[in-house]
Amino acid sequence: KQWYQRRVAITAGGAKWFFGCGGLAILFYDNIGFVHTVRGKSMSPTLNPGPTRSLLREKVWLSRLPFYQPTVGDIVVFKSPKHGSRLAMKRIAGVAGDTVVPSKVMKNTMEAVLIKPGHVWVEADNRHTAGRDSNEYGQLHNKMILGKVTWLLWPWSRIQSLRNTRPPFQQSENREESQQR
Amino acid sequence: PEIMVTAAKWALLGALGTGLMFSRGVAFVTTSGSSMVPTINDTSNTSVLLVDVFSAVTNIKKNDIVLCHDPEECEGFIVKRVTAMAGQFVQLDPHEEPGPYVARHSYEGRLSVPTGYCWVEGDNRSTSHDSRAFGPIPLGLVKGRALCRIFPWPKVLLKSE
Repeated sequence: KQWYQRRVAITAGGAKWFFGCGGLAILFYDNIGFVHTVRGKSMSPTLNPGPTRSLLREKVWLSRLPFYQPTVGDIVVFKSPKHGSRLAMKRIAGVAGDTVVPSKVMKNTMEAVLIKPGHVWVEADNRHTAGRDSNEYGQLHNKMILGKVTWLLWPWSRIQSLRNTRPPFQQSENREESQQR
Repeated sequence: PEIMVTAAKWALLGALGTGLMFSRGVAFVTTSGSSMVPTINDTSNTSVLLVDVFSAVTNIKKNDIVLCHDPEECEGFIVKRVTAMAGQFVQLDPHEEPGPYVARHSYEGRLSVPTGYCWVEGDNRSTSHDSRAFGPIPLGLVKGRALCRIFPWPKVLLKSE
């Protein structure tokens, strides 16, 4: 009987550690953050994918701390409205209450759009990428946003904080801030 | 004091474990409203559902009942049935008054769902505020599929193909 009890105890102990670490990893991933690889040129020159080998691609730290308030200028990672299972990364160009005029380059209509509560307007830094931001798919629901990109981590030669960066062009003519603020 | 520390440890573990399960595994969800009568409840009573939050978005299929973030509100959820997936056409009922979105976007009596989105409708068409009013919702807003109802009477909601 004794060898049996010891085996069960060791397996139970191992299982506790396995599930415990797994659970902690998931909690960390969901509530603290993770390293995200840059794919695509839509945020150039701020963030570049580099050559196709995964090890050489730029990597950023995505902060998923709770109670994130979307702010204009933040670079965010969100679930892509065009491909349900993929993640996208763009810069917030307008928040709820702002009025945005979709960029002339991409959108046919020139009407101003009022951003609804709980939504944001995201735009690519790289004006030459065709669509793939709010100019194509409209306002983005806040719940699609995973978190804010706070650091460029790789390559080491480019390590820098990304908290307060600006897009490489003047965005202000597109956006009218909400009067309530 | 020693008992309190142990109790606190177990409480923290329980809270983290439950939080983890509800966000990534299976969750109990309380619903109210009449948009899914009679499938989920009778006349807007509350009911309790078991929702699978675990499976990936790619597992969502037509006719699943899903829990989604409310597309029109900052917080809150809705429970509706997926009646058309990305790339499919929405079954429009010619006898009923078209909802705001349907009226603006249907063309020659047809309406298709763009890639990355799904079309949701409540089973109780007369009282349901759904995609006919606010349009298709992005799959990223779908939180999970309803597996079964626990209260008032157990009932399976997820039908396997």
